[in-house]
Amino acid sequence: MYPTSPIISAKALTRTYSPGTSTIIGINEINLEVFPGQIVVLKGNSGSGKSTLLSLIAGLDHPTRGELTVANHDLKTATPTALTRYRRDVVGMVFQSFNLLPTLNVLENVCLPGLLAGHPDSRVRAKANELLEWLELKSRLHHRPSELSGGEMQRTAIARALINDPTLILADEPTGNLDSCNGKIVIDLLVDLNRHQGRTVIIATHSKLADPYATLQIYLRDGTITKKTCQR
Amino acid sequence: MPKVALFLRLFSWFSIRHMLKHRGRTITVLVGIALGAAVFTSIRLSIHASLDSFSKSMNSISGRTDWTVVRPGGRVSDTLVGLLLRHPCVRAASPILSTYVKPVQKEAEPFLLVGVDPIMDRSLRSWQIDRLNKEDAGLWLDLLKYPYTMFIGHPLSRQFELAAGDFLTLEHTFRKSDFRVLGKLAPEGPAIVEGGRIAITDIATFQEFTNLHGLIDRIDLRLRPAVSENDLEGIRRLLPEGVFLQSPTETRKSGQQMIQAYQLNLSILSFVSLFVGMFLVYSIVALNAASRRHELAILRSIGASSHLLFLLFLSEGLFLGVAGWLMAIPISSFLVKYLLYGVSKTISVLFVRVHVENLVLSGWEILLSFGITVFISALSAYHPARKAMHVDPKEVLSISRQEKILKKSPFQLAVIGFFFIFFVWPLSRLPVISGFPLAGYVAIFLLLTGFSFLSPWGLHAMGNFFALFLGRLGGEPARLAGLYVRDSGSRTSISVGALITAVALYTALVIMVHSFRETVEIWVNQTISGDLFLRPKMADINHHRDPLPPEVIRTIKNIKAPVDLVPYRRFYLNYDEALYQFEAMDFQNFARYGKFFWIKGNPSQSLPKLIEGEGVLVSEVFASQTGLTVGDFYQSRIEGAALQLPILGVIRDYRTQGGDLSIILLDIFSRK
Ligand SMILES: Nc1ncnc2c1ncn2[C@@H]1O[C@H](COP(=O)(O)OP(=O)(O)OP(=O)(O)O)[C@@H](O)[C@H]1O
Ligand SMILES: [Mg+2]
Repeated sequence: MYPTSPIISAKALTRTYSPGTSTIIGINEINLEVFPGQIVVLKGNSGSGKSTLLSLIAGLDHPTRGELTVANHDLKTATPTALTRYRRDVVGMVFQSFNLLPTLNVLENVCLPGLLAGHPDSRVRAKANELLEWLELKSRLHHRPSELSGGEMQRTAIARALINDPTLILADEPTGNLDSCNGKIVIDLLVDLNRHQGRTVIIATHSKLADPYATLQIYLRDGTITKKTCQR
Repeated sequence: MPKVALFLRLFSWFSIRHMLKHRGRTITVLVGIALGAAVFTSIRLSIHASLDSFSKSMNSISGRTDWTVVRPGGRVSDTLVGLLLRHPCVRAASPILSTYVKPVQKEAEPFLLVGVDPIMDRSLRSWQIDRLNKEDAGLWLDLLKYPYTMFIGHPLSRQFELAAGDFLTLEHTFRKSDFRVLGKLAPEGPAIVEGGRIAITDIATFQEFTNLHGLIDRIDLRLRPAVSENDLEGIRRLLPEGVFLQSPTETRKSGQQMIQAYQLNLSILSFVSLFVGMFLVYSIVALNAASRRHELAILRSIGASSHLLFLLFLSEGLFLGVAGWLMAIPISSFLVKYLLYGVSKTISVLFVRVHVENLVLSGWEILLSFGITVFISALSAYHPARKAMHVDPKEVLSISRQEKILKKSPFQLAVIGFFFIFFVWPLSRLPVISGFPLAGYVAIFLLLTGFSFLSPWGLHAMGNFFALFLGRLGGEPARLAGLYVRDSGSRTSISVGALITAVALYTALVIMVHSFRETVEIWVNQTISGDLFLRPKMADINHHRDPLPPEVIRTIKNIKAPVDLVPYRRFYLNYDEALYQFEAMDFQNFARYGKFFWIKGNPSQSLPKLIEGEGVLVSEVFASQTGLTVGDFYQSRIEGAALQLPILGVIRDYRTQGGDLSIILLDIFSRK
């Protein structure tokens, strides 16, 4: 169906936690292939392992067992420095709780990943302005997150996720803290990024908002994939 | 974007803004650091000023002197001057006498009166008369021509409103006399000694005024170039028994050493004041790191390295250190004025007389205080910064976390605290290693940390008790407040630790700078419980050099009433490089009214020997400085008499100059 090689490839991917003597399963023996340009929706009950899987793909966490390759990066063996660079350059993340830095204003929050990546100030600024204009936040550039509405915060977070032109966009429950109207706007934006810019998008969500657009739906239960449905 | 610029921008966005948001907290910490740095800096600066003034005074008063002829504990005959001048190696010799005198009628501090031969002294010291005209060229010789004339330093002329031709009545042990002012001394060379509170008169006038006919304090010698050890031996052979050649650098060195020892003690103590700042920096950086965990995870998730987070928090410490130090500048400039007086006064009473007029700003001292403050702040930020560095980037996700918290229980900490405190006593008993009481300092450190470690447990126990008590008194809210103290854990304990340190420190400092001096003065006066203490005027400041006039002694001895007398004399001597005081008294009577605290030796066995004059007691300080102890022999020469006596005991004596006690008093009197 997709001629190119997969952008994400997971083989027997497992993440377990062992606080004290017990072992808790985050995800267990997951096999998965995602191709460039796909829009993937992760579904499942609370505690089923959606966030755990996303955190592994985002390079925020290390697998316990199995293989995970994303955009030619072997995340199982990557060093901490390589992971940091990977997070900065390859993925953009959007979270349920927005995760903006409270002491930075909108423009600064958006610019920061670009500056951390070592890009020239002027270029980062121009790009941030362009993104914020597109996201209709032009009038909010110098406001702190505490002065924004939920929808504005999430749009700022999306701008931040895009500043370094990531090939992969990961969203964990992006509509969880938003009303249905703003939730729709956010999903539309993510779909837009996929459709018009060809970015691969993975959304973990309880809501049905994204379902119509998904090219791949993955159902998780107790850390394992119970069902995959491909559309198109 | 260059890395440094990026870092500074992030620091200002992330850290500075956070500090500004929590202004109250930040200012408290800054004030803590500033106070610590101010105490440290101003103490160092004021001792430095005393040391500097002492060295300058010593240098300018010794002028071009190569060697000094002295008789320890006594005075030299002035006939020796002629004898020495005849030696081929001696280029110049100048007899000199000095004492502190007081102007009668006027309520004033004593000042230094120096007696020299105006002609002989010119080749050793460059006294300059202020605004000397051609026709006044002979003015200098007027000192010789007219008895009871003097030149005075500027500060004296200002204070007593004296001009040339005016008279000032001076008083000393034996008499009061009118001195005519010939002119003012230019504030340079030896005239800057004692901050210029100095007057100079002819030696003959001096001798008559102080009843020292034929005697001088010392003779300063200037030798021809390239004098060999053999030549010096030749000069030594000219000197009668009990008279020695002394190098002026040696005298200066022993004075400097005492001030430096005091400086070391005070520095270490005031260094503790920086500890308070250290506690505060630690607690605020740790608090920031803990409360901003989530922000740290965000930073990590968007591509900041753990290294960068470490630097951010370390820089918070650095920033607080630098800002605190800058805030310390105005505090220090206020504090130093007060300390300058206290410190120099204490040094004058306990060690050597210093007269500090103004502060010398030593670049090195300022750099030192800056370096130490900033270093200590960065050091205290190190641990929280390491913690910040290890924040898991995964924490950005709302994943149900079950983080296990590994914390030592208050009781475990208390055990560590008790363990530390346990070692304080044995450590403080360890001997001094080459003049540096390292074990003592470690003991202080353990004491402070020990009690700080006890504080969580103490708080816990107190919280329990208070909760119960407050609950009865004020109901549920009060009980919860009590429980809060119990459960607030390390945060409150760090503040309590800081408080413990601060209180201990300021108490210690006040004792060192202030009450210590007073305690010593009181202690010295109360070692013996007498009804009346009779001593010559200005005996302390003149180092007890002039005993009571013979007619006074005669009168007292003839008192018919049943009075017990304890005759007493004190000599200021030196043992190698250590200065000490030798005290002689009638032990028989002393034993009835006074008591010493014996550290070593057997009082009941030794007392009869002491009364017979067959031994001496030495102070703890003297023993530790010279290494002499019970069973060793004490040797010295006092007023020409050679002493060799067994040391019978080591006693406690709070004077830092040491102290040596013996009973040979009657002996010396009879020889005089
Ligand atoms: N640090 C951790 N320590 C222990 N267990 C963990 C940790 N992180 C996640 N888990 C466990 O892993 C399992 C999967 O959690 P995860 O957060 O991935 O679920 P989720 O599908 O994202 O749930 P939700 O829909 O509520 O966000 C849960 O049982 C959770 O308790
Ligand atoms: Mg989740």
